[in-house]
Amino acid sequence: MPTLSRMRRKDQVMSAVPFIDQLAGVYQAAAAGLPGARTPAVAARRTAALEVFRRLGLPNHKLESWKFTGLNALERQSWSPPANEGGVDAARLKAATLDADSYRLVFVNGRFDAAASRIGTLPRGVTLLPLSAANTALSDVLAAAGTDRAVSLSELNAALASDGVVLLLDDGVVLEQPVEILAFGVPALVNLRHLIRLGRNARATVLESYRDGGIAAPGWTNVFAHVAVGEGARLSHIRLQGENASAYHAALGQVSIGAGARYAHASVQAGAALARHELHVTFAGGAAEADIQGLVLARGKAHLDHTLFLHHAVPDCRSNQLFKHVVDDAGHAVFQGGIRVAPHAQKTDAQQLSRTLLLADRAQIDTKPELEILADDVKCSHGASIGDVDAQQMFYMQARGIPAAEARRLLLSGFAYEVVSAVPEGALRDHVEEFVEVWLAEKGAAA
Amino acid sequence: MLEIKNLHATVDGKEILRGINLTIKAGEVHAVMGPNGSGKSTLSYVLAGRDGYEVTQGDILFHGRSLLGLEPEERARDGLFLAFQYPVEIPGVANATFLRSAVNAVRKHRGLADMDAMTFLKTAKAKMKQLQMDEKFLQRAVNMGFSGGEKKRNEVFQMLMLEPTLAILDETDSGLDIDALKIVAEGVNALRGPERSALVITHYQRLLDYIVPDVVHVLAGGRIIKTGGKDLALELEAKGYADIIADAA
Ligand SMILES: Nc1ncnc2c1ncn2[C@@H]1O[C@H](COP(=O)(O)OP(=O)(O)OP(=O)(O)O)[C@@H](O)[C@H]1O
Ligand SMILES: [Mg+2]
Repeated sequence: MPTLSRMRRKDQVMSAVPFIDQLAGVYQAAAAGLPGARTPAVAARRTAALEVFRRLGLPNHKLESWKFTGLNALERQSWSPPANEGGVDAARLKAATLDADSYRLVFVNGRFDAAASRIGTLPRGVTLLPLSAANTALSDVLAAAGTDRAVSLSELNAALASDGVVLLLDDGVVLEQPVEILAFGVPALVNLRHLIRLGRNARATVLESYRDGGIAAPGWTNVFAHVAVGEGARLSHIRLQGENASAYHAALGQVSIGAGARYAHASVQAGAALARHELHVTFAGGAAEADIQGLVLARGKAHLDHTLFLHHAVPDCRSNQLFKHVVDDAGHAVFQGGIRVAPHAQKTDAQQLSRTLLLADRAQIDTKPELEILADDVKCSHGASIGDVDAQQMFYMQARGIPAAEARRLLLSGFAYEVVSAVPEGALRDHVEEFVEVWLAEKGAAA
Repeated sequence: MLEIKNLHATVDGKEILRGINLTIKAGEVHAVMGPNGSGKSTLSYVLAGRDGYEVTQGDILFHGRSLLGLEPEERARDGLFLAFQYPVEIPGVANATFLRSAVNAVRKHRGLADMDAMTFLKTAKAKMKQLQMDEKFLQRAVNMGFSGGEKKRNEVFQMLMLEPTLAILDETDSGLDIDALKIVAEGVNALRGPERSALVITHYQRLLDYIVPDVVHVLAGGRIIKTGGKDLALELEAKGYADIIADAA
């Protein structure tokens, strides 16, 4: 107890400047170096965004969608913009990169790291560049995601975004190799902003990866991604969150899916002290599909949140959500799965399933399905299960000579595999599998 | 090899095994038959060390050492193998991954180096061929969506890979078609040898035509009520259990 109160006092001293003003200070310090700083319209948009954030403040528990995840801890830290210097060491980079040909964009200290990146030659009809090099698209990218408190971090992001990825595919363009977005967390406030837009019948695979930069001091990565999947297009979007165990990570994705298009998303969160990946998906045209899978691997005191709003705004669309959680120690997982079916969105098929393994007494999950179904001719279902690893399965494995700890690891890996197997086969799936296995192996070492 | 002495065991506080005595010498095959619910699977679980199956009296010696207090994996590594009456499905874990972990755990215990992926695959494929199993079963999740007979064959496949000294087969014949029965029996016979023993639980004399037992036991009400030669199985097949149970009472 004495330690705790001492820490509090110290923190108060550190944040003598109120949090919001501190962030304004970060903006003042960074503004001149941000992309588009010399374009008046862009600069004006950034200042306006900061003002919106200042007015709204951080989302808090009073908001329905933030009931289970609090950001108070952010206010107890002092924040600065990332340093201008420093890269990521080669071993760390290698371990985090995909073992296959890809268009790779690496971000360190919130900045595009050209030396670590490898874009190469792009097929015709493809625009792929870091935000810091995207002059014309900037206003587009910085456009507001919303102006209510629940998404206020996206306005902070618009003000401070120092880099990100712009990926634009013309109609009919098929990008064979995956686009790899790889960002390393640092002990600073980093804002990355992405725009991914696929034209009609275009196809792409995107791997978005947030990794531990190797410095165990709290950093805060704040990400906003705008994703537009054109009519008949196909986007496979994989997201890995493996930040340092002391880090904060907040991400908001806004996805619109055109008629006949397919959006497949797999999100694995296995790092950070506190992380939230919020995804808003809207069907903009009929006969489209969204397959959204999530996996949370939480141990220690990690608090990992997936919040999803899926809006069936038009008829004839199919959505499937599968979220799995492995929670150990005093970890805390949150899954909120909102589905809204608009009054005229008939023939909607929306399925949701949340499954959780709680491995320790203090492990926790808050899972909240939220279905608002305003059409009558629909197929919607949701379910949730919570349990420990299956005793029969454990016995079966042990009866074959497999030690209990290894049997458990195999069962957890099998549990995770349902999400892993949603990732396209080959190097990508192997990469995600490896990401999961590393976490599981660390567990074995700790046990 | 195996000595079961006055074994009493309870499940959920209910006494299921009520004083079993049974000795299997090295190289012997014993058959256990008996009515449904008589405690045959319970005996197999107690031998394998399943949680919740509590031994309240007696002892089990395996290679002269008490099994009581050993974890299931320790018993398995010492050479005990249970082919389950109801093999367990394990989603997301490939049969090959599972089996390689098992093989290497057993090898480690015997002081052998890990079997590398290539050797494992070669060995596994050879055993599968012997059992006329499709190699595809290696990549499928353990028992997931396997037919009843396929699951049983998979049990025997695992047994061949692990080469136990004592194999307990709990109704491995049920669910097998006639051809499969022969193949599986051949698989079991292939493991027979002066140092290996088996405890074969079955309802059908037919299996014992292929795996010829040295001794046949009748288990009823948690006790062995009769022991005889292989002809006892024929007698049971013809007359059922009623007379024997009446005699024992
Ligand atoms: N958890 C339990 N609680 C209470 N009784 C149990 C439990 N598990 C098993 N039993 C009982 O123990 C008895 C023996 O069951 P067991 O499965 O060993 O029989 P079996 O001889 O293998 O039968 P079968 O030939 O049908 O396979 C049965 O009456 C069964 O209902
Ligand atoms: Mg049985």
